[in-house]
Amino acid sequence: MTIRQDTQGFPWHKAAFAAAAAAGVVAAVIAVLTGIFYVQAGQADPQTAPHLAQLRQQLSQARQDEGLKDQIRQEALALRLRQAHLRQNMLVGLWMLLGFSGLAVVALQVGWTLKKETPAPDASGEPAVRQERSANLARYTMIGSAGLLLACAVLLTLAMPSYKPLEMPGGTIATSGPATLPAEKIATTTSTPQPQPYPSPQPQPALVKTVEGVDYATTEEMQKNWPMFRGPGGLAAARGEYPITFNAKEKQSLLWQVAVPLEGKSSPLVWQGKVFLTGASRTTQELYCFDAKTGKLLWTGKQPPSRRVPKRSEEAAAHEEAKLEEESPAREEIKLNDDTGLAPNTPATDGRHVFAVYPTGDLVAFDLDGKKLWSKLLDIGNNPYGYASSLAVWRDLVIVQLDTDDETKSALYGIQGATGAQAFKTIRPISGSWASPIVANTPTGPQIIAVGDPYLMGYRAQDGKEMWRAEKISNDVTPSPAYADGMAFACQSGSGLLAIKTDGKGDVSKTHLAWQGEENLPDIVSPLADGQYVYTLTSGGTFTAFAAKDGKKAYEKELDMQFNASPVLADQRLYLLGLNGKMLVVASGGEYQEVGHGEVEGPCHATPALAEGRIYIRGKDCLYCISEEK
Amino acid sequence: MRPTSWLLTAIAVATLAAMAWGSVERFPPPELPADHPLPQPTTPAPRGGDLALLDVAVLLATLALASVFAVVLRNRKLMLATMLFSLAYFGFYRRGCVCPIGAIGNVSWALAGGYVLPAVVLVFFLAPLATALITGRTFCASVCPLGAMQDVVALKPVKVPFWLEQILGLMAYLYLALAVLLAWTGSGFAICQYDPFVSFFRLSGAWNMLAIGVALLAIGVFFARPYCRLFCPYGVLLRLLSRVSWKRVRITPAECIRCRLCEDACPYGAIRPPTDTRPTDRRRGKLILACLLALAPVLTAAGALGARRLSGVLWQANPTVRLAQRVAAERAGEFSDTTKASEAFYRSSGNFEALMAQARQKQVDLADGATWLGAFMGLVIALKLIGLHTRRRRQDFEADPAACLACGRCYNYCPVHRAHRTGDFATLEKLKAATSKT
Repeated sequence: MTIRQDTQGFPWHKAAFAAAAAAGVVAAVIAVLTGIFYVQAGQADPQTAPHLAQLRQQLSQARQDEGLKDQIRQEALALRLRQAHLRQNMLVGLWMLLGFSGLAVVALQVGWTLKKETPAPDASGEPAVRQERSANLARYTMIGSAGLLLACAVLLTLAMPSYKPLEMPGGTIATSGPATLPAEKIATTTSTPQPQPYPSPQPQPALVKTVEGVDYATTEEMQKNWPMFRGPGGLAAARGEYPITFNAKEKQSLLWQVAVPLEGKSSPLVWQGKVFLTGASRTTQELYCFDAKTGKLLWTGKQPPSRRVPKRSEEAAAHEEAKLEEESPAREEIKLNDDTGLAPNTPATDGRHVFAVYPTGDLVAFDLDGKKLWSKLLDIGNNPYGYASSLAVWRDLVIVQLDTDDETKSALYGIQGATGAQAFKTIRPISGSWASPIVANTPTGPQIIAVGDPYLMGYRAQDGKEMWRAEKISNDVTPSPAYADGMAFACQSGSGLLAIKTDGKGDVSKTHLAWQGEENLPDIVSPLADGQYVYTLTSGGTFTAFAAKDGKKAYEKELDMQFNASPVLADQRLYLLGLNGKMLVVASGGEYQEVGHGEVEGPCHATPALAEGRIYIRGKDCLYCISEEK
Repeated sequence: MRPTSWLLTAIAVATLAAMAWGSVERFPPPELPADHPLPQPTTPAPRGGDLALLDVAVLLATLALASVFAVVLRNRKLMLATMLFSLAYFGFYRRGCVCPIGAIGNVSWALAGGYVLPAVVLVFFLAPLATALITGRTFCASVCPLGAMQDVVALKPVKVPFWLEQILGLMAYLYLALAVLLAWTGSGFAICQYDPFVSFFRLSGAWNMLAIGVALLAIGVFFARPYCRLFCPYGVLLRLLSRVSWKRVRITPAECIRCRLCEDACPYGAIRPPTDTRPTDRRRGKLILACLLALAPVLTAAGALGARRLSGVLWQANPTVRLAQRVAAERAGEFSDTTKASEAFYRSSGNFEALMAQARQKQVDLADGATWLGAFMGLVIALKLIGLHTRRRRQDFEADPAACLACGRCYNYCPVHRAHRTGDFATLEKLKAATSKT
């Protein structure tokens, strides 16, 4: 007995099955075509196309080949267009596949429904009993399954190794092996297509025995101290009040004076009761840590030069040379100008570690107690006067500006302070420079601002990504940039003074140029900005103040002194340290007004450090601490 | 041409016009100079206010219609139409998101304090549950795009032994517990990540998920709605609430003639026979029940302990733990390269100590969560055992409120329903007579 009689008359179910078969065949054909499109689209991927990869390889050998660049662009565009076309086809194919598959399924459903005859009622058997048997069976099966699961769990527990929680640094993770990252393997952020490996000729840079957690000082801590060249962020501004009159020779306001073992032109750092300074000879490079209150030398961190330092004219220590050659005959010799000296680069501290770099390219990290953590050898390339840029810090990163005469090797590095691992590397289209980077909290976020021939450039501090660049600073760029209130300033004698707004993207040479100055341009001394004025000081002693907003000159003063040290600002006073050891204290503002003066024994090449009410000045073979403390 | 055809043609033309109006040209991309500053990648904005409200309105409307069609009108064709519309809207137009099943992850994450739950997601999560309390699982029947996808391909469903379905059905509980645990601990939205049909809705996706989707559809030809019956975590919640629903699908609109045709119609094995006989040995039954009740805490405790012991397996599911393990291994020199995640960590100047602390906290959370998961599964098994042992009194053939997906297939098979629909009570009387003879 049946309820429906659909099978009588025209066999609609057969028509439905035929339609399903036809739709299925069409769907299969579409599936094959779509698959072909998919494979072809994969082959047309510009990222993986072998021909393009080959061209890119060629470009890495000839970076200036504009014709090759054009060819790559054209072929990449053609591939992208083809890929887009194939993907469009694939999308259409997928929709058609879906449609015909759905049609086939629906036709099959209709066919089955039409064909199926509703069965006759069947009240035979005992469904309730059957149901009860099924339930019993399910119960027993479930008990069996639960038992089986428990048995499996027990077996797994016994067989599998027990999972141990992650151990904190200082445990097995920290001590079981070298604790620095494989810096060479970390991808780099470059503005050129070819990534450059981090220059680390040492086979195993890991020297850390105990890993400290990555930690960094707060902004407040940084502001209280003097952590890098020209203080917090390199902005040459200190908190607090400082002596305005002193005389080291007459012990006036002199807290202490201590001999520095080795020569150098680097500036001191101050961090929570400790003063750091570098010095070097041709056989050793040293980082000194003095007690800020007493001047006592607490420790010396030594780093042998990995490259050979050329003899100076007055030096003829033949036995010393022979000894060096014997120790490391394969060492290459660096170029180094006598004026640059053996320790011109100011070290830096992130408050947890202290980092020093030398013209030999040796970058070394110590903890605050003098324990050496790691060292690296930077590829300093060819630098006619010697590598002299100072280090900067941002959070736990030590920032290295490494500009060489070979533009493909100039780069900005971010290196993890704790481990020495490279966090980023950004190639700079810059020839050799001697300026140092600064770190500024701009309205668009923290930026590393660095200058060289021919660009003043801003980088995102987090990853070193270039944000903007402005032309044109040229010649042997030595003064470091200044920053205040969203404006970056850079200058170089024979070039110009640029005032650039830092919220731009890309080339901002014209779009974000606030103003440009052309007179009284310094050649060594870095400018200083206090938000209202930008102060420049030539090495010949011409001191000038420009209005920060429009570059209008407020005043110009000839100081009749030579200057190498950069001015610093504290309590609305500018501290100008002359090469002869005399310091002028001038009120900041639009009018020149001397408010104090001091003197130590010169020559003074290094910029003074100001922290906790004390002024630290590197003089002739000495470090002076000027303070009104008794 | 009939008016209906005119109407359908007009709708089709309007739909195509709307698609053309809303489309944007994506290719070809502009040719950019080498120094062009590339824009920063951004997270796509969520669906805007009015359109989100439209989604909610469509959900509520389809739920209401599905309930009316299933319970009041008892009309399978209208239910099918609603199902196909939902498949088109929630599946292919909305690309499977937002959906109540995936919303389990959102709700869990929000309850854990992970984020503020969007109101739309909350409505999507709650509305089908509320509907289940009123009319049973009509969401499964006509609104869920995943269910619709499987329903369409259920061509030759076969009966699966009751015991086997009961055992396999435990997977849904496990999946629910895992999904909640992973979302709660911020380890990910497993349900969305492993949605087997989203690849179809989006016409793209990972090969493994596409393969799983195809396999489920292939199985679904013979075993109707395998995902719904064996895996769906939201189905667990609907199953629970449907047991106490106010109205539900009833096979026959009047007295059941016990023809058993509905058993043949139901592809989900959800029809339960009447219980005419009384249990013969009530004392034995009580004894077994007592044993099962005693077993419940044992199973719960065993599940909790076993799962806690194996919780280390779950650690790998958490990205923070994975990253910490990787970074620690890289720092220990076990790897000579970095992963994308570890590289991003270094570039963000991440604090390793803080990362380790976070990872350890996640491990503790996952271990605690695994304990609860094990206890939950032990309890579920215990309750299932008790449920299987307990007899429920049924006068007629009835759809199991928990297992019934409210598809309405049984309506047209039921002679009583057909007689009421056509007025042909003579045939019904004949069938009654035939049934009583057999």
